[in-house]
Amino acid sequence: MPDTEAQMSPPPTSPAAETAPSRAVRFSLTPEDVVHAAQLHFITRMRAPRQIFNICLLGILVTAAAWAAITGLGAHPPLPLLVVIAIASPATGLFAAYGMHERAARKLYAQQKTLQRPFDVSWTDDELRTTSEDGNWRLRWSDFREVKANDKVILFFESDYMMRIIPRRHLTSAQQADLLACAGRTAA
Amino acid sequence: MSEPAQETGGGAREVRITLDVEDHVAFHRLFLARALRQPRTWFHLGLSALVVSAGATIGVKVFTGDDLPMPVALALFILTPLVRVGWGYWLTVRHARRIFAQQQSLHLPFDLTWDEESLTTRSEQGTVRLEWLYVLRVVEDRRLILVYESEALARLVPRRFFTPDQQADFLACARAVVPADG
Repeated sequence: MPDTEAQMSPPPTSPAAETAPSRAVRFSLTPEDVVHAAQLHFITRMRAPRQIFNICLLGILVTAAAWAAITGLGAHPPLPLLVVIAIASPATGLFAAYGMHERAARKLYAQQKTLQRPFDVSWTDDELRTTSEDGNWRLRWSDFREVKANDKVILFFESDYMMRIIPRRHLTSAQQADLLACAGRTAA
Repeated sequence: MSEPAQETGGGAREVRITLDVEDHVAFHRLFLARALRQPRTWFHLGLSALVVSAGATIGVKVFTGDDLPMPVALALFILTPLVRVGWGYWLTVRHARRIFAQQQSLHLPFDLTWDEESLTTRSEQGTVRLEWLYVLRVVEDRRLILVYESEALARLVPRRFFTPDQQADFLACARAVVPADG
């Protein structure tokens, strides 16, 4: 932990650096942070073209299966019925997923003890570092696929499903801007 | 386990692991297979079947004035969860391959060590220790051992990097603390 902290705040090398915000924060996540992160994650995923394509494809698949079943039984499925099935089948999945995400996020927080420990997070122009009682790790900005933020949290995605959460409330406005600028410069 | 940490008689309590994409696919398959054994999953599948077949029944009545034949409603009730499970399986395999390609940390070799209290992973990205006390469950199949931190996060440990004695020792350390799971 000490050596990480020593590297968090390099000595200022220019007048501009003297007024630069601290690049280190200590915080603990709350269940609400994880809920906000889950909301942003869900919205981010649902907006992805791949996900939209998958949802449409699922609707088509279920409708085709229903059409084949009904035709196989010797009936002629009316078009409105097929439309209802095409919309209802993916919609139920989506509503269920959205409806359950808050509960799932709270459950995740309760289960995953490592989320409940205080974290020391620091960053440089090159990487994001985290230290907690459980260990320490550093990720280059280029290891992140994307960074998403809303008014509550900033999420750093290593993949579509693996993300690091930083609640905005633990950062000053200047720190938020600096962190996002560092991430934005080199994140993939 | 009663032996000292480094004198287990089953070999060193350290292995070096490099995952490959098939490990990750197997990991997601096992994750899905376990989810499909949960009552909650069946409840959700049943709910979606009910919504689709009820929606179809109401839709036919509203748009045509006819009653949906019972065999058709039944077929929809059965097909909906089947399509969703098949769809989920297909997506799981695709997602596993895509996530492995995306997440660079999965490609790095790491050293896994364990003792009666915890397991620790070390890679060039850092060191993380997880106490067995905080492990939700341990699930295994022929290829992998999964160590769950929560319903959403598990560490995957391919068996092929262990000797049989190391596997037995690793699982004994886990089972001594982690509650048994079906």
